[in-house]
Amino acid sequence: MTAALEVDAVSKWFGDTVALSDVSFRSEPGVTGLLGHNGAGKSTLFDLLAGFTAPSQGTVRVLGLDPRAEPAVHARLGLVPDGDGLWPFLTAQQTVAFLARHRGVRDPEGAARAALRTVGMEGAADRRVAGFSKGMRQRVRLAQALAHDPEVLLLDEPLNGLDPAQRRADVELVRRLGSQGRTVLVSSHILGEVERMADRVLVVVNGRLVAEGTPEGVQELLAQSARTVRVETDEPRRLAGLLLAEPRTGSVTLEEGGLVVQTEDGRRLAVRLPQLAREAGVHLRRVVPVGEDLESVFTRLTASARGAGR
Amino acid sequence: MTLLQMSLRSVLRGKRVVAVAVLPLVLAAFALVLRLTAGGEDRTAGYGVIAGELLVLVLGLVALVLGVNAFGDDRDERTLGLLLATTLPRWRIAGAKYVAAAGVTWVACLPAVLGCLVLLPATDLPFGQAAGTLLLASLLGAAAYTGLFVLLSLALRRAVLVGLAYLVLWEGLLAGTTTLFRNLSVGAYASRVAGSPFRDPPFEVADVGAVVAAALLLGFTAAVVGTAAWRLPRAHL
Repeated sequence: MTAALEVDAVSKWFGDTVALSDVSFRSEPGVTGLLGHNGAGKSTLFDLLAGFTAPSQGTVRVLGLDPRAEPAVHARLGLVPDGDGLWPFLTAQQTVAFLARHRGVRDPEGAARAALRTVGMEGAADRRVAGFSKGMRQRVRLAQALAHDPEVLLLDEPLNGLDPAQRRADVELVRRLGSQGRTVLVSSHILGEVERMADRVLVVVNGRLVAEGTPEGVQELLAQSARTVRVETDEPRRLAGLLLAEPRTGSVTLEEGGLVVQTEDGRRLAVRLPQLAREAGVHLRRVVPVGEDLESVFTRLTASARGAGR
Repeated sequence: MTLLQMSLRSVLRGKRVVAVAVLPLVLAAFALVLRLTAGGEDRTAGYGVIAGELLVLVLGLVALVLGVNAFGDDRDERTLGLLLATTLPRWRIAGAKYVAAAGVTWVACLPAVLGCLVLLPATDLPFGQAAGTLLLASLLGAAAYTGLFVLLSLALRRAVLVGLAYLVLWEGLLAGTTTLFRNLSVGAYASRVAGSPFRDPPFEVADVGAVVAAALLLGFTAAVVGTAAWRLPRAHL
């Protein structure tokens, strides 16, 4: 059986900039999360899947069709593109009905009302979009992706600009769409969000697909992978010597009032560091993980993925 | 709502369209003043100046503002992705946007065309023929200029600046110097069509027959609009 989304050995570059490098995956019914920091290549992947641009190498198929050659695929595909674009001079209802009509819906007005109800916007359906808050705009954009009842949904950062209550509602909505048997690809740069929505996660770093698996698996991978910790202590030199003797220590750098240690196994370090300090009688003032934002985690993942011969 | 209706609403929104409509109105007012104050040869010369300005500069400027914004707004407001995520073929999207912009350009310039018509009786030409060719010339000119500027907006970031430089330097200045430049000017071909009833047209015209001029304008329009349709998906990125 062919998958709804098939990306095969796809690379995309713009001039000298490589946006995607040798990316392959096949979607499964249900929600797939696309996790990556800003600029990782998520939106480029969406542009390729929507047929807005052609891959420099490789092939992209959506429901078995080449989206670039066959705009007809949009009758079965719902897209929330990046950003918050909407026509300011149209009402929510006009916007959704206009797009539904041009995706082959027989009763675009009825479909638009239903879709706006689904996202909780029925009360503002006949108001012009120009006066909408960012959250309201995002809901209208979600409604237009649902109005033609598509089999495949591509949602590029759909939770951006939403308040916590709206986020919760939309996480629920995305899960529901997935459990209805649709193929949903949803991107985010926040791991927690992806975890709550997706059954399967793809991690993209600098245009490369570096990890793939269940949200738990990816979490595990993040926890086990290398990390950098800053330790404040009275006796950095002694502690540095002890740490260097430990297996899986990458590097130790002395700093004013302490040291920075890089390890390949964060969990092991968390256990061993207090033990070492106690045995040697070294006083630890502070232990802080350094740069534990997604970007640095991704960067480490990339390095390990490259090392694994990817 | 059809795509064309939607495109028309997009062109007609805001104060922009009101602002560009002022220019042809000013030209029409000049024509009216000439008609009331000047006599005989002055009035004929006045027709030459006003029709010449209309076909070269005024049509061009109105087309620039409306043509560049046909997709410029969608680009700025990031709605191009929504429009492209439909089953509509790219050429229909580009075509509808283009037709809306070109149509509004022509209608906005109609007051100036009517202004020229009140000066026509001074030229002792058959009125119907001269009026008909002027209307046709303005329509062809609006079509060609708008097409060019729609394409510029999809190909360049600074389309307004480049378009303005083109209008002032190329159409306004260089096309007046030699036959070579004149034969590469949209305004000169439109003027050629408008000048066809005259033995000696009162404005600068391209050095070809009127039918050839009209055919070249149509061919040019088809080429630029076709290229715009081809460029369209890339402008989204």
